[in-house]
Amino acid sequence: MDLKGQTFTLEGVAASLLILIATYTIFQSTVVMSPSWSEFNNIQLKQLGYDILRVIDNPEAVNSSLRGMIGNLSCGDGNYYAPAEFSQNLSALLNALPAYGRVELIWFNGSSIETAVLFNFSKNPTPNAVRVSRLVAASNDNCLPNAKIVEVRLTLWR
Amino acid sequence: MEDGKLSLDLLMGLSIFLFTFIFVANFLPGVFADVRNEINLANQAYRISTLLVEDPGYSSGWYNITEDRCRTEEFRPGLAVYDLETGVKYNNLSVEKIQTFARLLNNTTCIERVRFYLGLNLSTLGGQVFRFNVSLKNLAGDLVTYNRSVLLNHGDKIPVTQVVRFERIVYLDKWADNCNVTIEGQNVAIADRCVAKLEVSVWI
Repeated sequence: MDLKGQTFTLEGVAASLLILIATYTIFQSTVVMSPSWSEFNNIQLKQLGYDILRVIDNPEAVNSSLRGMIGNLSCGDGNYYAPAEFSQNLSALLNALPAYGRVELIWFNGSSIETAVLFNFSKNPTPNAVRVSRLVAASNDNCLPNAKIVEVRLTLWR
Repeated sequence: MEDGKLSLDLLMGLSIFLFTFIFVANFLPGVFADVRNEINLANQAYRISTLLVEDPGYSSGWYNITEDRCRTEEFRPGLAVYDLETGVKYNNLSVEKIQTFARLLNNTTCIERVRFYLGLNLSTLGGQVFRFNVSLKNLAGDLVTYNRSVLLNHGDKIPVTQVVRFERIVYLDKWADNCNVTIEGQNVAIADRCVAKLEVSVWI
């Protein structure tokens, strides 16, 4: 009886079993993540973000629109407070997604670029957040000095 | 003298291993077929939602098409409002166009034409035929009604299997019955607009 040969057979069978078990495990796992599939969720959230900015940028609305929010922004102690209507409307939209949001206002102040974070929307995003922005022609001399065009930056995450 | 000879056991071991390896190599692409399928569906859902939300449709008067003329006329459904001065108003949907779209989807002949013109019937090119469903809901998740009838919840019946859905936030050019949201007990319109959620579901 050749004992050397026995080892080779066992190795072959063991290797086959390993491959079969590995394949079976992959096949049985319900979530097979591929990069493009996880990117699709980001695309969906990003698109919703653009939609939100587009929908609330209504020039005819007063306090609830982006321009009205910037014009009627109040500030103090380093905090920036959006009008109550705007905060309520944006919260209602975010709740409907559902998603969390952070809103930053970015403008050019003579020689430097400045950033203000809205008080009610100042949570720190998670690493898989997406960011959308919209440029709005609006000014607020008290809180956003020298601002003519303001970038409203919305960061969304779930 | 045993050196230099292949034993039968070695041959058997190798052949079992190779047989399994080839089987797995052939089998693996099939394992990921579902995921690839979903990605394909996701593309379609994204494409259709963009067409509906950001395109006014073709021709400019496509929403005058009646059910008996949908077979003979060429059209592309798009629900966005077109303004002669400012052009296409993205995300602003026309109630009139939505009503026509819903009517066409309700008709067994016209739904096939809509499917074809939206590029969801690729059978003539040797591709797949996609099923789809489009609905318009308010932010609370209820179907939007206009004059007490549901505005848009049409298309194929959504199955329990794999469905990919893409959502868009839109606003209507007329006031529907239930587009306001309730905030602190008050009925509020988001940014003074009738805001709703358009959901496009696609499956095979």
